[in-house]
Amino acid sequence: MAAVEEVGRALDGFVERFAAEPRLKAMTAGWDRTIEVRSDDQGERFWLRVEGGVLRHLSAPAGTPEMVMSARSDLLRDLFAGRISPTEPYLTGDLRLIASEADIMRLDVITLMLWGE
Amino acid sequence: MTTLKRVLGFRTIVSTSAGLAFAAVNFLAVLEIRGQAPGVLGPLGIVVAGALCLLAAAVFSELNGTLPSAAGIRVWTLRGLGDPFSLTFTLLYLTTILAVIAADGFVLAAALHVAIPAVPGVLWILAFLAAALVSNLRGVRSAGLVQDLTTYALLAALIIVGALAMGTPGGHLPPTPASWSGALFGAVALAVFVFTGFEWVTPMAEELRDPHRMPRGLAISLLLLAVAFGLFALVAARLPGVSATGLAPQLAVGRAALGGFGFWVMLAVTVVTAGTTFNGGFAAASRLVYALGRSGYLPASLGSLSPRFVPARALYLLAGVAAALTRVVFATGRYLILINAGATLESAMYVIAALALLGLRRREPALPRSYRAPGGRIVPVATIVLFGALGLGAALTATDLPLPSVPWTLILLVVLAVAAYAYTRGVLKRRTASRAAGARQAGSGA
Repeated sequence: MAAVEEVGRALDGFVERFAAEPRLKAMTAGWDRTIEVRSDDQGERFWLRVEGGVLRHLSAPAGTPEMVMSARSDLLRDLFAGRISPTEPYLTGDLRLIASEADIMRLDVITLMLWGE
Repeated sequence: MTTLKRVLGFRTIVSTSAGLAFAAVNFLAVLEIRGQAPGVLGPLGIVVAGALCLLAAAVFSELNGTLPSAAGIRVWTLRGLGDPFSLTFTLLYLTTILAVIAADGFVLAAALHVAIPAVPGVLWILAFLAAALVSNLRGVRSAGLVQDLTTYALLAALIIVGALAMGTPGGHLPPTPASWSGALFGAVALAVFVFTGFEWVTPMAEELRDPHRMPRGLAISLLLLAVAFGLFALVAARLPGVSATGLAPQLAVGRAALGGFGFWVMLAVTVVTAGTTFNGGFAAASRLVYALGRSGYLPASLGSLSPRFVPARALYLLAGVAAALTRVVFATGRYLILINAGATLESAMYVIAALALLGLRRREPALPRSYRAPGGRIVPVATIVLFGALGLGAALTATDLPLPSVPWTLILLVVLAVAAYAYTRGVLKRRTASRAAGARQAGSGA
């Protein structure tokens, strides 16, 4: 199990990388979403908000989320730190995404653009 | 618990489930069932198959309540039965979707050719497949309300037309044969095909406020399908003229009920049904192909997305294969093997889902389950036994290919399964070797 701070730091790092990738700003323009990240073993929740092509790590939920992502804390940490691709844990059921198919696809592309395969 | 903005409502669970199962080729399946089981046995077979599918509904509801995932059967079989089996079956599942699309294309072309003989059937097939491909490439999705209205309108049209056709004079039910049990078993085995896809809604369901909502929704969907197609089968059994239209029995039933207007109503039902099958089939299969491509189980090029965030290459591949398959079926006019194979694979899917459920309960008993099938092991074990027997029955049903005594369906499925397994073994071997090389590289670099 990862520490709560480790997951938080991984999310901050994810936000920084997102901001440093100009293609993502264009790609997410008009795609305003709140993503709730649930750490199953910690019982903690984190929130990300994409709005106007800018990603922010929120300390409290901003309205009702459009997407919910849940997994073990160590998997979330590694995922947001770019150490693993989301595809494999998603297909094994270790990473759960509750969202529309189109949103899941877009999130997949975001991770692909940030970290490649 | 946080509530998502987009939650599948109960009405949409029912309509999506029924809509996915409502295929144009079901009308031909009813004709085949009538050939196997005369008189009331055909409709009875459909009702019994629907009732038995309640077992599968409970199994899928528990799987979804344990591991809710859009990757559905891939995740459940992987966690419950392991990778080689899971991947093999996922590839066979893709084949089922393509077979249903091909069969529906065939039925659509046959019906449109009866209505408008001047246009060759193959042109209709290509036009509809192209429309479904473009719609998917553009990422068009019908809203929940549109889907609800479409499915309920289709079901209502079929039930009303069927009920009116029952009142037409001149029909009679052939007597039930003295030795009816074998015929009824054959009818039930094939009738599983009519319900193919009712369970595909489970991976689409998001957070359910009430975990009992899914099994209830599936049960109502099965009931609606059993009533609609049971009634259609009763009319088909009662009116000898239904088979006179050859490959478009639904048009004859429409004409018997409401004359020319009924004919066009049933043609519209066929067109809309085939359209939704093409569209839904491409959407479901392309996402699966994309996910397998992304994770290296299929060629990586299939794991790419278009600027509209749709798996374009997967869609082109599927449309090409579906068009070729439909063309072959249309040219030969031999379609029974697709229905028999579909019925077999659907029964096999229920068996495998039940095995995965037992495997998950044993391997990961601590996983939280928002819904558990009642009766302990009774439901999954009964599913395995009953659908195992029915699947075998469907696989051994005679086809319209030469040498009817040869079990062509079984042979075809065994060949496909062996090919899928061989491919799976090769892919898994390469992945293991690649990971080992990666680990060695990382070790030497450290």
